[in-house]
Amino acid sequence: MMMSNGGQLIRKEDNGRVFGSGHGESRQRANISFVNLWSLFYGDCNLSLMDVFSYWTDHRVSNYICEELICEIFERLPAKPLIRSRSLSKSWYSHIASSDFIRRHKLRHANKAPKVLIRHVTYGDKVIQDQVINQDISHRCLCHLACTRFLLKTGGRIAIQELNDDIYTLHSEDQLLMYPECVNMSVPAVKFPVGKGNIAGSCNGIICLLNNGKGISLWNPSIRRILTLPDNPFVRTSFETIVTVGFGFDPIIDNYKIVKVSIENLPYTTHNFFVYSMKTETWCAIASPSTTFHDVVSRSCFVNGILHWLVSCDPDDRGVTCYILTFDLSTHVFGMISVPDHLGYLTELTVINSSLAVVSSADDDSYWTGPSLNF
Amino acid sequence: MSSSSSSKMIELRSSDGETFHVEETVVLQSETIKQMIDDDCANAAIPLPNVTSMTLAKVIEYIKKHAEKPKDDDDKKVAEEDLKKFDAEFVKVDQESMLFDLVRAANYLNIKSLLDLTCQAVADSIKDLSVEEVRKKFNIQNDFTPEEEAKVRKENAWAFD
Repeated sequence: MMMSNGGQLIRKEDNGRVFGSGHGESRQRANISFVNLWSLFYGDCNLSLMDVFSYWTDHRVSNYICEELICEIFERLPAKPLIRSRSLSKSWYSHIASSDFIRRHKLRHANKAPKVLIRHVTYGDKVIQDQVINQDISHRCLCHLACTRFLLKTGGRIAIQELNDDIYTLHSEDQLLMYPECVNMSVPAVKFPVGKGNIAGSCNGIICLLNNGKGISLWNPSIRRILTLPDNPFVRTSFETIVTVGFGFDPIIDNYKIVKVSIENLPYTTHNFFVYSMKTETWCAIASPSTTFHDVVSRSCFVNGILHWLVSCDPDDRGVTCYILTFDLSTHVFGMISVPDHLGYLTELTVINSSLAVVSSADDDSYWTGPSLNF
Repeated sequence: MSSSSSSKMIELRSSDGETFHVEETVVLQSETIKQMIDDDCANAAIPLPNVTSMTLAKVIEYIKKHAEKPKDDDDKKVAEEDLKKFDAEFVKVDQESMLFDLVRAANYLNIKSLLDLTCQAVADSIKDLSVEEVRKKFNIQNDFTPEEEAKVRKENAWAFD
């Protein structure tokens, strides 16, 4: 690839950079709008990539830092100043939204401490409960305990805001664990994007929301953008009830996917299974797993390219007769993992130190009692 | 293990004609120079027309420090801490133009860790700046119309709080 400063730059990671060239492959890749969430959110950009290329090659100013190095710098910015940088100029507006830039920004920040999102749910007279999800779905149990303490101490402060809507706060995990008294930290509370929606799963800092059991949205709290998926053409939405939604990333084709399990006619029929691909923006129906289940107990848990759900076989004994249903997001193949039967009442799947863990509860009061099983 | 005294010396010449002698083992951190040595182009002084003597001296200080090998595991831990401190001090330069020079030199010489360090230092220094200040710093021309700019800012209003 020709670099416009006379080929003096030696490429370090010349794996598809798009600058200064109308390289066919790069352009094709950058033009796929649903490669990942940021580009998806920035799909309203009016500039074509060719405009960007010509801008960059024509306007290099030698006594300043060149655009390529500004890119290197911007890749290291946190989300907020980076989003601000979209207002710099048209070319930066486009470039910061390009899939190539987003992919490299994600890689640069992959090793940063994960953030914890706490949702503060309001009920009636402002009784506050919490719902916790870690953006990198690790240590969810530990965070929950820490956050409960956080909420007890901050309850008054949040109530003062007189919010009828749910709100959320973002925290770095180490802060939460080291300073449960983080009440004194100035953490901005922001309105939760969907009223009574549930968090269905999270992956790479993107959270999948289920709105009132119907619509599915993806939300990136770091940049405060939300996208609602189109309806599934295979079913009449008004007759569909979503049982569970799984959200994860297929590393083989660099694609986010959503799995939906639904039933079409109440009171009860068989489960239907669908996969939505962010890259192709389409739903497709997939074959049911060979194993049957009656109910889905946990929200989905995404680990190493595979979605996991705790499902129960017995309608009268939910949470006891369980197994783990798995779905490989690359091969679209279901599988199962058995769970020892002495674990008690099972409530949730989570990830602890990169291992899938089943959380059991001594009674049904929804408090965590800690991980009981590591695979 | 070869001792440092037996290492071959490489001669580097800065844009303003100053020459520096650096051990080959140290200078190999620069992929650009490594390539030249591999291609047998390093028998005479290597000209570095994009790097001033002031910047090159700093770069050499950096690669010399990063070439030090710890003797054992205990030493390794101490050395890592020491290196962290060194890096933090290294990017505390009086003039921003020096930091930019170092970014350019690290890129030209292809020293990945130095590029990481200096780019992160610049990123840290601009993360609280206004859009106007960033434009000025990097000489970025604002080609939005006032209406367009207002629209873009409105889209991301929360980031301007």
